[in-house]
Amino acid sequence: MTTPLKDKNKEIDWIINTLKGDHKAFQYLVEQYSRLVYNHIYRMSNSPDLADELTQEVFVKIYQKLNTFDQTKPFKPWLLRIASNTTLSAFRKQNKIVSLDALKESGQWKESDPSPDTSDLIEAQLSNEALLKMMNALDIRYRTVLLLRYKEELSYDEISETMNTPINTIRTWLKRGKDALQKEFTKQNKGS
Amino acid sequence: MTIHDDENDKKNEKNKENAWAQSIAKLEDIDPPSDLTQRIMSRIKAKATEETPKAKEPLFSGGFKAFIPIAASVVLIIMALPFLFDGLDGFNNKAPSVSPEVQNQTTYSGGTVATQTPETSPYVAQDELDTFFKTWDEELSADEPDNEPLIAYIDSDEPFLYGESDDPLRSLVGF
Repeated sequence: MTTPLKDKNKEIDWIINTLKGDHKAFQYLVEQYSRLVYNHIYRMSNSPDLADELTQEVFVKIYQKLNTFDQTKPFKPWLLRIASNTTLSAFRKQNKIVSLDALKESGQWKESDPSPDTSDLIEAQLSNEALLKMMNALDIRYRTVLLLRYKEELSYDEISETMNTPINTIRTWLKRGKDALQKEFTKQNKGS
Repeated sequence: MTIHDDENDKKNEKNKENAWAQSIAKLEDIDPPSDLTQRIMSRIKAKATEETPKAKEPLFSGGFKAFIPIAASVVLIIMALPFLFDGLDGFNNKAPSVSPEVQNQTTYSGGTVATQTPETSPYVAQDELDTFFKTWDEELSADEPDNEPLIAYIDSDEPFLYGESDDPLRSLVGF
C-alpha cells in the first residue's frame, strides 16, 4: 500500500526537477501517487476501467499544471482535487450527476429516518465490496466528500477547496452522505 | 421526550456517523494494473513532444514576404503626401514654400560668381493688379458697343471664323 511521501523535501525536489524538464523526476511522482489516484477514482466510480483511463488523464493534467502548484502547500490535496474534479467531469459528461433538488422533487430523495444503533452491525457485516456498492448508490458529491474526509483524511478546508464549495455545504453533504448510507444499509437489511 | 432520551439519540447518531466514517476509512485498496505507470509515462512523453515549442519562424517569411513591397509603397506614398500638397499650393497661387535665401539665384558670369538678389519682390502687389485689371477692362469696354452684351457678338449675323482676328472671343481674351 502506497502511503503519502514522508520526506516532503524529496517530493518538492521531484516537482522542481519535473518543472526543469526531468521526466525521471515525474516518474517518481507517478510511482508514488498513481495507486492513490487510481483507488480514489475507483471508489468514486466503482469502475476499474474508468479508474485506469482517468488516472492517466489526471497525471497528464498534473504534468501540464505542475507550474501552478503552490509549493508551500501539501501536494496530496492538490492531487486529489484534480482527481476528484476529473472524475466529476467524466460523470457530468455521462449525465450521471442529477441535481439534489430534482431528486427531492421526484420523490427519490428522502432524509433518513432515525433508526436504532447499528454501528456494531455495520462493522460486523460490511465487506469492502458491500460498502462500495452502497456508496455507489449515493450521489457522487456525497460519495466524494465521504471519501475525501474519511478515507483520505483531508480537512474541511481542503475538501471545500477541492470541491469549490463552502465549508458549511461540505458539512451538510457529509451528514447527508452518512444518513444516505444508513438508509441504504437499512433498506438492504430489510430486503435480505 | 426527556433530556435523557435526547442525549441517547444524539449519542446513537454520533455512534452511527463514527461507524460509517470508520468503515469508509477501512476501505481497502485494490491493485492498479501493473503497467499503469508505464502507460502514464508514455502519454506524458507524447504530450511533452507535442507541446515542445517549435523553432521560431523568421519575422519575414512565407506569404508575409509578398506584403513587404506593398507596405513599402504605402509608406512612401504617405511620406510623399506633404510634398504633393505643397506642390498643389502652386495651383492656388500661394507663395512657394522656398525660402527667400534660396530664391537668391547664384549665377556664373564671366569668371566671377555673383549673387543676384531680386530687386523686386516675387509677389505682385495688389495695387498693381488692380491697375492692370482696370486698364484691361477699359481696353475691353472701348472695343465693345455701350451696354451691348458680349453674347450679341456671338449671336450676330456677321460671319466670322473662330481664331480669326475679328473673332470676338479672341479680342475678349486679348490675343
